[in-house]
Amino acid sequence: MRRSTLLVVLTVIVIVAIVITWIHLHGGIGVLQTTPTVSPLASLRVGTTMTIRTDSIFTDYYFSVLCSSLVFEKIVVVDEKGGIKPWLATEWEVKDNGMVWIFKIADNATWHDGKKLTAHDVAFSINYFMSKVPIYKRHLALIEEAKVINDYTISIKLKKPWARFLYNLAVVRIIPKHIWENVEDPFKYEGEDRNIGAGPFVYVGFDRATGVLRFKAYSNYWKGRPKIDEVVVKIYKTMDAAILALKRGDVDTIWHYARGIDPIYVPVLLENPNIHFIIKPNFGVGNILWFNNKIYPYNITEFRVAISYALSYSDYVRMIMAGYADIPNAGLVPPGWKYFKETRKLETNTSKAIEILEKLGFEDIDGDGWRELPNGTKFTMKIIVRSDIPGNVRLAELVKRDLENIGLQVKLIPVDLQTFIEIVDRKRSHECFISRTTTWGMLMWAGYGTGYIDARNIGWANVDDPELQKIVDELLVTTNEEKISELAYKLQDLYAEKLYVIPLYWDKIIQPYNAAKISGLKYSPMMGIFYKKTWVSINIIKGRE
Amino acid sequence: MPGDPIIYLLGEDVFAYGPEVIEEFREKFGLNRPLHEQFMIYLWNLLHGDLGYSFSYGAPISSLIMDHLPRTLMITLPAMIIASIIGCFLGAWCSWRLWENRKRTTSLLMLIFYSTPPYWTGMIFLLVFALHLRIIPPAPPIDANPLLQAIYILLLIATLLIYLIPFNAIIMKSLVTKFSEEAFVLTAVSKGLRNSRFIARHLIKPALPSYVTLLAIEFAFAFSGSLFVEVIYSWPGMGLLMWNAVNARDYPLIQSVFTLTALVVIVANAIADFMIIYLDPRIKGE
Amino acid sequence: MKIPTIMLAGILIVASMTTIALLAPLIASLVPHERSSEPFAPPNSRNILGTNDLGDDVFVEIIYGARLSMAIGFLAALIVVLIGLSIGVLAGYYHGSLIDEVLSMITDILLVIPVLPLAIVLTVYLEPSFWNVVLVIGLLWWPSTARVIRARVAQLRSMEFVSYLKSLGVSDLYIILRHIVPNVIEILIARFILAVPKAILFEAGLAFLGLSDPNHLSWGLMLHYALTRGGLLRGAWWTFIPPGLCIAITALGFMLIGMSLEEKISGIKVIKVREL
Repeated sequence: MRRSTLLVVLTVIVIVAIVITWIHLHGGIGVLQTTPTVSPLASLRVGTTMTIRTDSIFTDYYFSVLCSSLVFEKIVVVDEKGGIKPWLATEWEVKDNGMVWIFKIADNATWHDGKKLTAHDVAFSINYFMSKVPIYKRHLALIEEAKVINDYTISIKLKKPWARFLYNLAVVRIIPKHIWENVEDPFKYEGEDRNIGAGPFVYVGFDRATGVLRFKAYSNYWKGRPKIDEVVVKIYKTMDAAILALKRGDVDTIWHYARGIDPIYVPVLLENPNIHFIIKPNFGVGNILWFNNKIYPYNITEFRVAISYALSYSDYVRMIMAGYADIPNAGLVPPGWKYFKETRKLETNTSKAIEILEKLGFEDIDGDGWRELPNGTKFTMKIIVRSDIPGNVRLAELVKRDLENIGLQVKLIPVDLQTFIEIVDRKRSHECFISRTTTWGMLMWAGYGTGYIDARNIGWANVDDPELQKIVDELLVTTNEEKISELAYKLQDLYAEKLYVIPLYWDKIIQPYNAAKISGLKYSPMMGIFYKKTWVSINIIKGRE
Repeated sequence: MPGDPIIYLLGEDVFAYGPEVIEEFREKFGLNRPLHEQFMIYLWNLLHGDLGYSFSYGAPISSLIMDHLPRTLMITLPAMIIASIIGCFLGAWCSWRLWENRKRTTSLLMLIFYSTPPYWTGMIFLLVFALHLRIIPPAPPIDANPLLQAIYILLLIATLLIYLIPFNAIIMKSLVTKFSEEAFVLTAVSKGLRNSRFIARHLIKPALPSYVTLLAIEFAFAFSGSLFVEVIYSWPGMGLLMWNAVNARDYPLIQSVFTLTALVVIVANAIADFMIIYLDPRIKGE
Repeated sequence: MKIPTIMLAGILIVASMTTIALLAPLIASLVPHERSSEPFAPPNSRNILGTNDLGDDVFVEIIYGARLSMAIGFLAALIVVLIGLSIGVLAGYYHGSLIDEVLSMITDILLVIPVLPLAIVLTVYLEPSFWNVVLVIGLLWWPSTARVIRARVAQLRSMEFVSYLKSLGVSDLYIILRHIVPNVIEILIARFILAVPKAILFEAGLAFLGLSDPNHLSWGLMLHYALTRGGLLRGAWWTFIPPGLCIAITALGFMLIGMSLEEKISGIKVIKVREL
């Protein structure tokens, strides 16, 4: 190439480079915008990857989740152990065999606009959500009516006795009657006062261009003004970016519900000595090998037990969870639950697995290397794998190898969430699949995962064992704590004995935060560090940006 | 069923809400209407600029695209421009028969780079620059000083260039080779003429019209390349949007991104077809 | 026929890869490897190329990956060439007629549409499986082959011997099968060889995006896992440099053969652009 052409090329490159740099220096486009940093306030900066588009709790799911912790109050809250603690409802009593619940409401709570919060607001909120918001219709379908007894007492009558009712109530955000009673369609309401709540923080605003939401402390919060001045939520497009922001100190913690972060990020964060981790056992089960208990041969208990001996749990912990997990017990329910029982730990014993299989009649008759069914027909386990959960497919591969190790032929079928729901939920046509449970799901029905197991509810395991149903039915109506604990222990023993499903690992939640700056974080399995109690105890070293 | 929004609006616990709730949502989004009706609605909305709703992002698709498209163009357009120019010269150089050896090596180099998947080069770059040399972080540096941001983007563009330049060079080479075989070139060469001005005037210039129009095809190629590169660098452009959409099986979003990309490419081709008529005097009929 | 060095190099590469693919189990057994060692272990005495996120030996995975990548490459290229041949022959033989118009239009449309996004959309709707991927690649890449074939066939069609045969009353089908097709075989072979690397690269791209069958490990899938399972983040270069290198080298090998073959056949060093 001659000099002149080279010159032309270089000039072009330089021009382009200048243009790009110029764009950046002038704010860039979106991701390159520099957000104002230093502020004299004690502010908690939270990084998240939840996408938030509008600031209405009715139309934007993630905004609603944020606000349910920061801006609005709840009647009761789910605590660290998955139990229920009083909140706006300071005490309650149950009458008429679990049909009528009477709640006393705190008398010193106020709205952000100054007005007092009364039982009228509470009853109103319940009725409003029930009638206007589809999801709540289901949650609150049990309620026949919510009545105001006096300014600080309400009574709720149910259609049938339901001991777990408080869990349904725990999702209701209390909204001000004086604002919403005239709003016909909450999904379209754009009034300035749509985010007035009684929570520890007042909603300030949402800068969509930079993806930043601001909340400032409410000085008249009924539990006492939070010790921090503001909460700033920064939205990142990818988890990688959020993690890096935490490492560099641009945010003080990362939040995505109670999920914590993926273990693969831990080594990166460890490079910053200020970053500490809250490590808690997950309330849900990290991953489970599910069986459709109504289909042969998965309805044979010994078959399921045999499989449980073939799985190499320690490998799963090591490879998939990078060590941030434990080998589960046969009782399914992870430690941390209120009435957790230490059932036997699941064990890897390939010879035992083979022994049981042979005793059941699963032998390789035609010599192709795979075991046939006792009646001689060819057998392939079809395992559905949710491909939307990262790492799930890899785990499935390990499970497949373990099963092939004892002579069972396996086919993995990766599906997306929609197809998964179609097969497992609507048609219940699955044989086995690999998926996790969520905390909320575990609390459904009679709690302790019964919703997932019992065919009458979510029913992924499709079990209609009368032994199980007996325990569940009692749990659904008992409010006596001692009886509940007794039933919970019996339930876990039953799980361990029958192994309707096989838990693969009990993962740990890894919640990172900047310990040099924050203290007093509290964690609940439902909301993670956005647990209501955090706002009462959190503390920040001022001005450390 | 594809495009079921319920899942993303209600999250994993959707089944806990029961069939009535699900039915209500489907009603709201018109999913219980027959397929052809849904398609009509889709088209109608399309014409009004309403591309539908992305369930994994929880946002209207049009706003997502408005957000992400500029960022993709920001890296793709400069890369394409630079690649065309460099590719043009390299390609011409490659076909200049007098430098057999250099031509061979360069051609070979071009082929090698052409066979190299762009995501692989991206990964290597990140490995070297982000992890070993620690010049940049492995994700877009927001809130960082502009210099760092500029370096990050330049690295991104460099990855794209490694992918695009061979493409352009090979195109140019084939175009120019046709001309270099022509009689007048042979005579000129035998007369001793071999300076760059000659190359430029007699080889590059006649090839330019075809070259420019073929750049339209490059659009499709560049978009594919930028998809991979964005994923590696976590650059929030259309590529990353598609990646997230695919991972979440967010069918409406996938369809929209594809439609948009296809549209851009088709339009580019149409423009190219016009340009070739305009630029090439031979076709004009002079 | 004198074989140019470049082609020789290509042949060498392709031959080695094919051998590796065919003899995979043999080669794997020769090398010391342990199943389920430590995940992300760097290359050491027990694992030549280290281990991946599952503790699997990377070298063994590469060997087996060769099988899959080559298989998909060949199969997809076969489909590409078969479809391209059929359409190209029909369009070229009935050059100028309605059939030609329609087929050419379809060909042009497919040439213009960006193939990767379309492939993504198709694969996402179908189940990600081995055959679906092969099918998708085959269905999307035939246009360039069809065009080349069409041009050649049109050329042949206009030759005298064809009109002579037709005047004798010989059926079109006979002419096509006995005279046209044998004359395009050369080009077809060259196109086939060029289609394989495209297919391999394309499959790698789809696998990288997570759209391939997880039951079958390919090089592209290895890259996918390296990215999504934190290999890149940890600097575990052995999890992604080898697979990518294999993809590049294999593709290069085929392209060297294919391009020098095309040069020989068409007589000039021209690579038709739209057929890239």
